[in-house]
Amino acid sequence: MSHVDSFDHKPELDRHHGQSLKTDETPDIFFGRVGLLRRSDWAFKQRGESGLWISDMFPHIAEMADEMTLLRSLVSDSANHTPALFLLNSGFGANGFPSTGSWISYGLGNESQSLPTFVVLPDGRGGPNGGASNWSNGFLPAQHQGIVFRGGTQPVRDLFPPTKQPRGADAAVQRFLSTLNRQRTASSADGLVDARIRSYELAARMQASVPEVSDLTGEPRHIQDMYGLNDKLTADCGRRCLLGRRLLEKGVRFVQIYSGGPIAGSPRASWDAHESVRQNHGFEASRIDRPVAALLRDLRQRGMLDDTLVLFTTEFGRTPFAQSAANAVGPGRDHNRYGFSGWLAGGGVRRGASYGSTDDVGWKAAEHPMPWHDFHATLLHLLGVDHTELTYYHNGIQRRLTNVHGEVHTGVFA
Amino acid sequence: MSPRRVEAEVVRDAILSVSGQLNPERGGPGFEDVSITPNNGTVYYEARDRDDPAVHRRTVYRFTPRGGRTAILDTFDCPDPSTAAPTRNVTTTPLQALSLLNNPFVLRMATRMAERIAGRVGEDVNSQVIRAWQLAIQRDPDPREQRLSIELVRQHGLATLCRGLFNINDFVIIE
Repeated sequence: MSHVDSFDHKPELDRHHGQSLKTDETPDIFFGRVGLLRRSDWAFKQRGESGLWISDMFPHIAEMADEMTLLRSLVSDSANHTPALFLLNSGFGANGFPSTGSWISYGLGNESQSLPTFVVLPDGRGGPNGGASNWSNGFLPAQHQGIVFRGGTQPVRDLFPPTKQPRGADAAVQRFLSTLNRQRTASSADGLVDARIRSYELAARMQASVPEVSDLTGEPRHIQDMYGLNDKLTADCGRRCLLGRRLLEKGVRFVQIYSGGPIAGSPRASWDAHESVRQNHGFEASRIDRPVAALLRDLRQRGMLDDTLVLFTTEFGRTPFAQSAANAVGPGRDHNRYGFSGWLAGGGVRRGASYGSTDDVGWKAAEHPMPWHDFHATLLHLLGVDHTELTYYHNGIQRRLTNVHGEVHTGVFA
Repeated sequence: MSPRRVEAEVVRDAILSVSGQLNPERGGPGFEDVSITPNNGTVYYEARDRDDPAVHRRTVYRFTPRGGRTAILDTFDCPDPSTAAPTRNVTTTPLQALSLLNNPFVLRMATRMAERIAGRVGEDVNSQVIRAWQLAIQRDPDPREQRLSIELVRQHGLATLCRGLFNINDFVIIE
């Protein structure tokens, strides 16, 4: 997502519109075409009592400015979508490492007996680059993997048989199993056997709780409208934001909502605004602006925001210069890993504040650069976990979400 | 030997074997039970249920793309191929139970196993039950197991018993 068009106000960029970036460096971008500096496509305004500068790209989210701490100095090691997504999710650019949600599941445990700890809600248009690797448990035990909730009658894979079974057969099999699995008394396999008995009981409970939590029809009309469920443009994200709130209410620890499907393809179904920021971000933002604002508002009005942490992130920003010939100001922007924006809201975070900054034109992080390891360390701290203590022994190493890095940025704390 | 739960691959192979569907072909190119969607430089793999003898080979011959595990492999702790795993985790989860109860592959194999047994021993429920236990659990049922099994077959059919046997402790735990 382009920070200079959304959350990072750069008057100097406006002023230098049409000029070239003053640098001897060859920027590490994706297509390698460095055009002239390009001003924001959206007007910025000061919002709320805090006066945070947020652009008109997100008019609804902007109304919630007083709830959030803007992060304006995020940095990443990769300007390539897939490794950049892995870095955001797991702290490593290669896959095979546990994602943040899995670490949190491992660290905080499960509050719900009948729902998974870590739920993933991908964009209705498809999964992100890297697919399920983004919510992998890596080397952590399998119960910590992200579980995808889809729409429809089978919200979770294998929740019910795909074809109708003989009447009463499902319940009869469950009874058969519980009777037989219980009949054995003392045995060296007791631990395993007990765990299996419990798992079948929990499975039966999930068959009730998953459809129940996924059914949004019981939500009052004004809530459905607030999330944009009745508007084709916002329905996909709105449904997932509302489902996210319901899952959190039921004790799910970590819900991850994606905006943007596969990166490639035409027309684009993601935030990859190489061709035109105005067109692409305008459309993508209009899909999520109302639902995301509604989620914040809803969490606040239910008193949930005090102990819920909301993270709004992107794998990287976009360049302040256009992606075009060196003497032109084209309409698109390339990937920018050197500095970009996100925000935090809720539990333990300052309200109506901004943290860090980029240089005058928004190219590189200047004040308080925050690589993902720092972001993760800070996030874990906010959840009450010391990132150096949350470890899992694997292949000879006590592994951490933050590897051997991670600085907690106390400046974002309330 | 201390009791252990068999690995994901063994669960799948055993289901294929006892339902008479295991394709014993050795060597050569692996089988693919995933959909492959190239998208401008990125390739998406998604597990796809295929009812085809060509994919009924031992799981060791499975083409294992990253992120493309089937539910059985996934829930029974088969590591994603992007992860080096010197030892495997052994977890027991409700999602595992759901997959072993409801996965389309498992249900289809339960039906095949029932057909196999009926083809061998005919309509006599008592003989069907004994044969089912011999195939799946490698022993005769004790009188109580026999009684419960007969009841299940009479009310819900032989395939339902086979589905049940894939889920009992003795199918996945070795002592």
